[in-house]
Amino acid sequence: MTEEERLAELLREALPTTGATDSQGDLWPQVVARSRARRGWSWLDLGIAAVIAALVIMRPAWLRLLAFHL
Amino acid sequence: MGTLDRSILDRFVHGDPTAFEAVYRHHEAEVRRWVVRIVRDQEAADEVLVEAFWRAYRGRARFDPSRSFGAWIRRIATNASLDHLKRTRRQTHAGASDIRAPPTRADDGALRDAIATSFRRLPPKLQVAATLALVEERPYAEIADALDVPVGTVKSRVFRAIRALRRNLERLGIRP
Repeated sequence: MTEEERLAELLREALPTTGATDSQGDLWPQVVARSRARRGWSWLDLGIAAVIAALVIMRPAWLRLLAFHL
Repeated sequence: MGTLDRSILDRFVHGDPTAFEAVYRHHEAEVRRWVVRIVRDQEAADEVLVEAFWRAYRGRARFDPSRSFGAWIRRIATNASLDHLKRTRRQTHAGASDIRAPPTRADDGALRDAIATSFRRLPPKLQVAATLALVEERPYAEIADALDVPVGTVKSRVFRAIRALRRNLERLGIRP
């Protein structure tokens, strides 16, 4: 038996068996709930918002430009 | 498992919730079987399954309906399983107590625990490759497709997993 085969055998004995692979209940409602959950701001969103806020503070005149685009 | 009608996949890509459910029902069992093979925990498999399909829904615009949805969701599920292993690995490191004396063959339960704990401390990418190749004996091509890496990379990860596991076990005084 090679070392790989021996370790594979040990792992098969040590790791939990998979057993029945079907879920006990219907998970679809959880998938739907997850899909509909309000997403918070991502780091990218926060970063962009911070940059815009900093620019508006440094250049108040740009606020008019921003308001036009919004 | 047959393939879904192309029109359903088209509607899924465009956000049709009925199509999304049809896609979910068609692939749920197969995806869950795959996830269980990796995470080895029924409750965790449910969470990962929900996460995988949520990611698929979120990224639906990137899916090409002319391609295999099964292969695509399997890749997503594999990544979600990897993320789960990363989280649990951090918990294993945080909560694990030092093993002061090497378990002996007489303590089969302790020996299995030591091997399982050593394995769970491996980098998750190595764990996944080793679990699927050595424990589940899946074809390397299938593993490579699920991980979206070349077959050579899978073989390399399995080799590194074996080497790291052997080292961890030797530190515990266990000779495979």
